[in-house]
Amino acid sequence: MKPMLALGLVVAVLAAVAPFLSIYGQHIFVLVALYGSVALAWNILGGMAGQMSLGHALFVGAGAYLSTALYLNLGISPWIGLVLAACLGGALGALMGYTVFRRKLSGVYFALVTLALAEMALHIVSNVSVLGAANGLAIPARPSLANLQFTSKLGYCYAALAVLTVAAIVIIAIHRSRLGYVFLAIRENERSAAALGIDVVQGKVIAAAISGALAALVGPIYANYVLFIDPESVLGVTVSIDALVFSFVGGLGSLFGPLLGTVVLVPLTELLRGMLAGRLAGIHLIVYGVILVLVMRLAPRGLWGLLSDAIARRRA
Amino acid sequence: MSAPLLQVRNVSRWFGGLRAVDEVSFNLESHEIVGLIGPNGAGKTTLFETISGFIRPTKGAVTFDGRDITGHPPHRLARLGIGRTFQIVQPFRDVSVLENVVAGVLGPNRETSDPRAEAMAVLTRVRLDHRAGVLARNLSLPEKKRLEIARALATRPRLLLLDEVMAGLTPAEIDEIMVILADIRREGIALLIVEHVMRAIMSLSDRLVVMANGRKIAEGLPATVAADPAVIEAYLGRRHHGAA
Amino acid sequence: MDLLPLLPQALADGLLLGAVYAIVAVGLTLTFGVLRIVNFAHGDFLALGLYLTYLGATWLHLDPYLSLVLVLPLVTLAAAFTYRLLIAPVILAPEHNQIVVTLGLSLILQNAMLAIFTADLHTMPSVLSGQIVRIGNVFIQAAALIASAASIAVCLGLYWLLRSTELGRQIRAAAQDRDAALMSGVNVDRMYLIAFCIGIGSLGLVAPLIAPFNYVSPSVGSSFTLTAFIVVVLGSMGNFVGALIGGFIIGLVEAVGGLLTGGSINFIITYAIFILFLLFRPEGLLGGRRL
Repeated sequence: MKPMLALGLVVAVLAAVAPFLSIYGQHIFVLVALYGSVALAWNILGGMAGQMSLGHALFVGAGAYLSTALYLNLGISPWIGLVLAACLGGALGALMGYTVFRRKLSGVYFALVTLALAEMALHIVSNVSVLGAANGLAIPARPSLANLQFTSKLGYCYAALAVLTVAAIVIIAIHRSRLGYVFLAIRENERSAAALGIDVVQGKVIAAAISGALAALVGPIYANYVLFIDPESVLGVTVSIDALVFSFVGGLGSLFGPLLGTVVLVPLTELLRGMLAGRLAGIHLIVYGVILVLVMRLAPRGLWGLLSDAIARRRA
Repeated sequence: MSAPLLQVRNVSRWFGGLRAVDEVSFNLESHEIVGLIGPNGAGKTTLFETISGFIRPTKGAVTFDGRDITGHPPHRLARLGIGRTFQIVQPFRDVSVLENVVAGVLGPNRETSDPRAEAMAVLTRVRLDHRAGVLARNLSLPEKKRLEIARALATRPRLLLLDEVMAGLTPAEIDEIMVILADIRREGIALLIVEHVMRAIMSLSDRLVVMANGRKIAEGLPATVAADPAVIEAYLGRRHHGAA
Repeated sequence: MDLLPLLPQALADGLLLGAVYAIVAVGLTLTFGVLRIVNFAHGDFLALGLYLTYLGATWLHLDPYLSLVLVLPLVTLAAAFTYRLLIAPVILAPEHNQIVVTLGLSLILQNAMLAIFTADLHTMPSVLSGQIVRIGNVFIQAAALIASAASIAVCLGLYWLLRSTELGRQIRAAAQDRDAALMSGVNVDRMYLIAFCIGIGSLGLVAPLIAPFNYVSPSVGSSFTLTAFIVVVLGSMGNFVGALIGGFIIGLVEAVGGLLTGGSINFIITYAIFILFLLFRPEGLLGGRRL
């Protein structure tokens, strides 16, 4: 149980540090934990099982809209919404995975299908008035634990940390089980995997379902943190691209590289945003693009790879 | 005597107008080593892919242990006990040798108490245990060939299909593989071997099946087959026409 | 409301739009067919061309048609730089890495344009703006007619180039079998460079032509990229004629769909077609890759 113990320790330290952060620090904390969760979820399908998605916004958005719509229209607690969001995300992931992978589509075709599905979802939601159409949905501020709303940012820190912890536990559990080897084999070589008795299609569908469920968990927390969602902010292509950028920059093959990528890039983004005070919109995306290209050229295994190489060299 | 372990019945595979495999039948008993030989383009690899489930036969049937397995997907065949290697080695390049074999142990989804120990034991059988921690991409070709065998062995097959595991090796390296294969058959695993290294296949095989132009042209003891005029014609005839 | 009288107008609009989609898609399919690289930044080069046209209009007071002489070489030059700097190094890399590099390029281009030009929409009037050709009850902008005609002409010209010239033969050889082409003395790297420059360069040619009846914003590029992907998948990836046919189909679907539904629902139809094709007929209408 060593990795689980280490995880417990890290989570305990983060939880202990959070109250001492400034409001701004806590804001960054929440963002890193939420983006990091999406990146970790993305990496289960994209990194561990090797199927690159350009549409994880679909899951985040589905989760956010489901819990918010249920709360606003039927008064259903976002906590139940959270559970339902994970179910919906898992179901969408499985359905998407099943339809695509059964037809032996992979690589760029899978990337394009996921991109198109997320974009289509965005345009559909933009036309549904119950979901606020293009104007989005505002959640009235009624802080209470039952409403998944907190008076201070600290509450959101813990909520986001909880989601991140769930993602990490799932990843460690996968890595230690047969499923981890199923994903590894599929990623490395599908023909070999099949020859070893691994059902490749089933493996990919499971990866997509787990990945979708975890990404969808982030939606409701994000919605209740910002108290407003619209199609662009939760279903937009930037949500998907962010997850991909953090994962690639952090290190695709590794378990927690995507989190490392998020820890480096999100504060950097916020810093830039603060420095430029609203001028030069999109500058952080230029930085993402440059870093992405540089990482691909110079360190294809990402920051995690650089780090572990450095540690290995230190030991040698 | 019970039914043969593997029965190939009138199996054909057409690609458009080309009959890559044409009405081929043969049996393979448990504990037996059968060599599948023939000139390049004879249809050996296609037959191989058909038996291991990577290609569906156009016609005909394959049974394994008395059960019809025609057109079953490869992963199901692997779980039934048919292991295979690939002519062009396909290791999981970016993970360790040991993890490659662990994937083989866990692949068929059966109960195992200690997959790593089991994988290590398999590596010892192919004399690769000293390289367990190395990334598979860093192995030499002969080592990669042995890893390919180890990974297939890890699935605990009753029949192992070996596709040119000696191609590109030096005589000394071939001898090494032959010792390993002899060990494997002693453990009770049947082997179907596609190979161009005649010395090896003649001494290893109990029986040979010879293919040319998609058809089976001879079958029998290695010595008998080697003297068969049709077989000599198939090999020499090709050479006369300058084929490689 | 009776929509039937509006149908001829929608069909005409669809065909005009389709021709432009076709040339954009032909560029994408050319780079895919030859280099085997899916360029997620393709449309951003069109946006680049449009902004260059805009700069020509504001700084040099050039009519969009005149700025063609600047925009075409500049966009082609940008393509050459891009090939050398980003594409060539990943030409043999895993598909994931190629996709990520072109995605990164798209992020850089799109947001650089956003940082420089802001998200405001800009128009680039020409002497021909507002000139209308009337055929029966169908009204056509002269500029759109010119752009479509030029697009079709360029498509045909490229087809001729690939099919009937020595350069085209070498490009096709490099596309079909890299190793065989190398062995028979084709400079594959050079062919890749040329194909990439032609594929992107044709955007530099189209941009000034569509400028008089379009606006430009930083996000124009990604919407064109997506449309080009849809067209290319519809017409079979790497298939030249397929891209042409696919362009007209999507143009017509958008125009007629816009007549029936309007607004954002239109996108849903286009995406639905795209997804259904990806799932059920990923090889496209024509199948295979043929240059």
